[in-house]
Order: sequence, then structure tokens, then C-alpha cells
Amino acid sequence: MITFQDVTIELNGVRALEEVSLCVEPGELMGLVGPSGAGKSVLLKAACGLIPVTSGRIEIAETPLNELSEDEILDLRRRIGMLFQQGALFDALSVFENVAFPLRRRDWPEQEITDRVLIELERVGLSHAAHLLPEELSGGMRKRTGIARALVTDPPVGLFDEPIAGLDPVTGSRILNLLRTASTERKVTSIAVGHELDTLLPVCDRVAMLLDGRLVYLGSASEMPEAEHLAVRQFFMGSEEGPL
Amino acid sequence: MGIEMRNLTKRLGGETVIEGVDLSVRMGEILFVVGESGAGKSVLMRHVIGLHKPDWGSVYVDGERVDSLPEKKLYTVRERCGFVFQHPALLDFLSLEGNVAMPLRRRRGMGGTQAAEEARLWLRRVGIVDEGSRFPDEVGAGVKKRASIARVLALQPRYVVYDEPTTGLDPVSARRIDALIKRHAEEQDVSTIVVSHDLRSLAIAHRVAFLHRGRLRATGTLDELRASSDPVVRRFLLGGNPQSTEALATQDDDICYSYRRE
Amino acid sequence: MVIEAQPHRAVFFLGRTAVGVIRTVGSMVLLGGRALSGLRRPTWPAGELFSQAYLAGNRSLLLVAITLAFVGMVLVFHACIQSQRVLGEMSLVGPAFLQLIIREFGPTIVALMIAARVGAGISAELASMVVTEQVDALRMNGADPARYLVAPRLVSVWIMTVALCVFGCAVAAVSGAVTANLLFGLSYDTFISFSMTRTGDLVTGLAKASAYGFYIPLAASWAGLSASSGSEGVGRATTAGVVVGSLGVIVLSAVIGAAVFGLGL
Repeated sequence: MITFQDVTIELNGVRALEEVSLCVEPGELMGLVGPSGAGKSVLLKAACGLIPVTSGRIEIAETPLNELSEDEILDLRRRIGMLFQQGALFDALSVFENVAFPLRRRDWPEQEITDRVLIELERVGLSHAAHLLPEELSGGMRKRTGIARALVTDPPVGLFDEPIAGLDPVTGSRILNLLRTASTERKVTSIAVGHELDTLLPVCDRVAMLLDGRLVYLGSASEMPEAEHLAVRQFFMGSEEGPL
Repeated sequence: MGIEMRNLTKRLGGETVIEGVDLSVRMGEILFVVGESGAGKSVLMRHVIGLHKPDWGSVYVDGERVDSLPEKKLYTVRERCGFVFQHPALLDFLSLEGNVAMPLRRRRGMGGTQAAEEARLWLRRVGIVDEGSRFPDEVGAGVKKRASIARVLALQPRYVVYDEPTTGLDPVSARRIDALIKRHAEEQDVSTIVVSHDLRSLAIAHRVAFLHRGRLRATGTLDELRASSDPVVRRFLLGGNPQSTEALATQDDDICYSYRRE
Repeated sequence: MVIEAQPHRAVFFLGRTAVGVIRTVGSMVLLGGRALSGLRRPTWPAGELFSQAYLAGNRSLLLVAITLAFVGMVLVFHACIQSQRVLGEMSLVGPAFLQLIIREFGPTIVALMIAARVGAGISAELASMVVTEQVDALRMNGADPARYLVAPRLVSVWIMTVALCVFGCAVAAVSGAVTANLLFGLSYDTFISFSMTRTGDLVTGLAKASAYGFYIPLAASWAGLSASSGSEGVGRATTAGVVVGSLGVIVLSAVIGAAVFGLGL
């Protein structure tokens, strides 16, 4: 479960998030959308304590983030799987080692690491690519490696930053399916950030939309066209006329 | 007149990336080249301006064969073809107006004031004249993209190639780019090729060419493609909606292929 | 027209600069502390120390050798001319030159070279890791970048800096001796004499070398890890790494020099 309560974040004197309150239920996959610079990535990074909160309260898996020491946050992060926008794969490590990394940090025995990583690579369909280095991968493969690394520890919480940006619709939906399966079958409480509404929204349980750091919509995707806020409707339709 | 590719084949790194593609774009036409990542779309387009030389086949621009031209003569071809790259690549130290004005000064030999005036005109056409004095890192991705388009269009090319113009943009910015492409093509009667995998953009296409594994799988209007019985084409057009059962069912059938390609 | 003095502006400026310097030093100290605490239980990949040491050490050998050879040449050339003019003879040039090289010029010039070559490399590497979110990914996996990335660089660059300083001093001594011999006819025996070099000089030189060796990778890592996003962030961080690194070397040189002088060594 992920809870944001009146969260405000200032970065270098600029308000990146303003009094955002939202709650992602256990096992739910929430889509987080909005124009670029609306604060989507900031929200994700705040959720795992990579960016400090200026005011308000964030709870991850029933643990209030604000009250934790640096060491406790390190510990909490181990229970969060995060996919970074650009994959953030470690350049020097192979696909296998990238996925094994979180397990090695937890001092798992070698045999168990190998087994676990192979299962995870199988899930994302990369068993054949285990020995490749990140620079040899296509965009879709990088994203899938990132997802495998994020989910290899079976975290209760998954945060996915732009999982399908720049990918074609077929590759994109393949990746979103992985996220959908993770939240349905493995009960990963997830937030997925993106602006490819056509591809993203159908797999999400609910949608939240940010605009200039404020939450302007929270609800089901199908009701977005009837949203009160004009900007939300415009964003959903992708029409040229409107406040955006 | 127009751009024509005949039986184009290109091998890169021991792999056939383009295989026997015949494709042409007529004057004033908007042609969309679509397909999955790695289908060879961008490679195909780079042949038009001679950034790649074909291993087989030929490329004609305005009836002139360009694939065998030496680098020096290619400039006259590149003058006629505007290429909007996927990443805007604006110069950080120039304002948006300066970015648009620079090629006008250097390649059209305009004076400072004339170039600035012309640049403002084109910024107005793409709808960002108010942002002209701002710098690339002060504006959003959509505005940057439009500035980079203005920079290309200001040179008034007869052909414009857009490489994934809407990728990474939010839906509102993306539709604005679409409208811009369409308006420019119609008003200036230029031939336009758009490489894209944004399904919503297809609405502005006169004709769509679907590229799959380096081969031309289908061409036609969007409606013709939608009516196609080819499962690969159908899957792509439905790809934006993974919950449609058809898309899911065909999801893994040629997964092995895409791995090899990837 | 009366030009009004605006003292408050100067005060603001000075105050801001002072706060900036204190912040920088403070965050560097914190980073260094965390990195050092990581030495107790190393978590970095096997072979990291060796490969970092190779990058920092072997790849800088030629640069250090060429620089110090020329420094030795130029210094001795001018010293010989001056000594000839003032004292009428040159027997003290060798001992004085060796003392100066060991105590001051050897370590400091080698350190400046390392700050430029190795420091820039570390800043750029870490900054690009920040920009591509690899550092965040490390933190997400419970790996503290200070302990995982900075600590091995600190150790290997430290060892290599001390080694390169010794090497640089030797190169300068040899090139100085050759210059004196070929141009001024001084014998090698007269030139290579440690009669003016005391233990204190040696200690000072070593203290400086090891202080630089600790400071340079720390400053470079700090600059790299504080990179802002975007590809221009990498460029800025690299520049900052070199500037902060070389400035710090000069300041450290003065501070250690003063401390040693105060201690009466």
C-alpha cells in the first residue's frame, strides 16, 4: 500500500509537488499521467525516499517514510522494486548480473541467486540474453531487464517510471502486460508513470493525473472524458484546444 | 517528381535490415512509415538523404538517382530534403529564435535582421512565437520539438522527413505536432514522410506503409490497413490496446524473431 | 553625482561565497566519512580496487613523467643561471632543488596533474551514472554510493597518488641532474646530494602526497555525485571536479606547509 497525504515537495526553490494526496491499494496498478514536468517522476522518487518531502506524509507498506533514519530507508527500499526511466542498468554488468544485483546485496547464497534470476529472466523473456551487456540491448530489452531487476526480490511495492516511453505499441503492450501480471498475480502494489494513454490506461486499475505538481484527477480511466477539470479532458482526448 | 525507392536492400552488421523495399511519395502527400522498433524504419529514411548507401536498389529524388552521388553533390539533395531528427538537438547557447535563424544565415545567406524576422515568422507558424526569446532548457519537450521543426521548415525544403516526431510527448503536444505536420504539408504542398509508431498520429496520413522485419508488409490508406486480414498488421494497429484479446493472443507468436532483431 | 558605497552587496557576496564553501566542505567531509566507514566491510565488486588503481596509476604515468621532467629541466635551468649570477657558483643548486622538489613541487604538481586527469575521469563517470539514474538504482538496492562507488576510488587513487608523487620526484631529480650536467657542466655527484633535505622535508612531502591522494578522489566524487540531470550536467560536474580538485590541492599545500612550519619540522 502506498499513501500520500498532503505531500508538498520543493526542489531548488521550485514547487514540484503541491499537496498531493493519493492512496494505492494493495495489489493495485495505478497509472500516473500528466504533461512533462508535471511532477510524475518526482512523486515516484519521493515514494522511495530518493527525494525528501518538504511537508506532508508518505507511507509505504504501512511504514511512514518521514520518521525513518537513513539506514531504515535503505532497508525499506529493499522492499520496493523500481524501474527507472532510462533503465538505469549498470553498464559494467551483464543482464544476469544486473538482475542478480539486488539479491547479492541481500547476501543470498549463490545457487539460489542463479535459480531466482533465471526464473525472473524467463518471465520477461530474456533467458537467451543473460550474458549480454546493457549497451548491446534494444530499448525494449533494457526496459525488460530493468523490470526483472525491480521484481526479482518479490517486492510488495513496484514503481515504474515511463516503462514504455519510446517503444512501439506492440513492444509497449508486452511490457505493460508484465506489470499487469506482477500486480495481479504477485500482488505488487504498483504505480506506472507514462503519457502513452492509449497503451497505458487499459492495463491500469485507476488513473491519477498531475498538472503543475497538483493532483487534478483520480479515478477510473473510463471516466476521464467526463472529468470536471477541463485540462484532464483535453489531455485525454489529446485535442489542441484547451488550457494546456 | 517525388521520392522513389526501388528494390532497396541494406545490410548492416551482417544482418539484412532492409529487404527489397519499393516505396514512393508523391508531391504534397503525407506518407507514414510505421512498424515495430527494429523494423528498419529509420534506416530506410536515412537512405533518402544519403546518410546510408543501399547495398542493392536505388533511390530517386525528383527523378535524379541519389544513392550513387558523391558526398559533395549530396548537399544539393539535402538542401531539398528537411530531416527532423527524433531528438531535437537544439543548440543550448542560442534562444529558440536564434536556433531557427542560424541555418537561415548560414545556408540562405540572410543578414541578421532578415534571418531573425524570418525565424519569428516560422516560430509563429509552429505556434511558439511567444517563446522565441527563451532558451532550450527553459521550455518543455513539446515546444523544443516544435522549434526544431521550425528550424527545418524555415529552409523551405520540398520534402520533409520526420523521425518519430511525437515519441515521448504527452498527448496534447503530440496532437499539436500532428496538426502542424498536416497544415504545413497542405499549405506548402511539400511531400512528407513521417516515421512513427504513434497510432493516433495515423489520422493525418494520406497513405501508410507498414514495415515488418525490413520488408514492406502492406501499404494503403489507414482504412485499407485497418481492413487488412494480415495478422501482423492487425496486431500492430491493435497494439495500443493490449486488453483486446486479439492483441494478447498474437503477442508471443513471433517473440523469437523480435529477440533476434533486438 | 555622488557614488554611494554599497557595503551590503559586498557583504552579501562574501557571505554567500563563505556559506557555499562551508557547505561544499561539509558535504565533502560527510561523503568522505561515509566512504571510510565502508572500508570496514567492503561491498564493492571484486577487482574494483585493482581496476581503479590501474586507471588512476598506470594511465597517468606518462603524463606525470613528461610534466615533471620539464618542470625539473626549467627549474634547474633558471636556478643555475641565478645561482651563477648571485653566488658565482652552482654547487648548492642540486641540494636546494631536491629539497624543493621533495617538499613542495613534486607532490603538488603531480597532484595537479592527477586532479586534472584522474579527477576529471571520476567526476565524469559518476556524473553520468547520476544522470542515467544508476546511482538511484544503487540506492534503491540498499547500496550506499559513498561506500560502493567512492570508497574503492578513494583507496586506489590514494595509493596511486603517493606512488606517483615518489615517481614524479625521481623523474624531476633525474631530468634536473641531466640538465645541470649537459648545460652547465655540473657533475652528477655534486647535483644529487641530499645535504639540504631533512627528515622534515620528507615527512612534509609524504604528508602532502597522501593528503592530495585522499582529497582529489573525494572532491571528484563529490562533484560527480552532485551532478544535475541532463547531458550538460556531466560536463558541468567534470569541470567542477577539476576546479575544486586543483584549487583544493593548492590550498592544502599552503595549509600543510604552514602546519609543518608551525610544528618546526
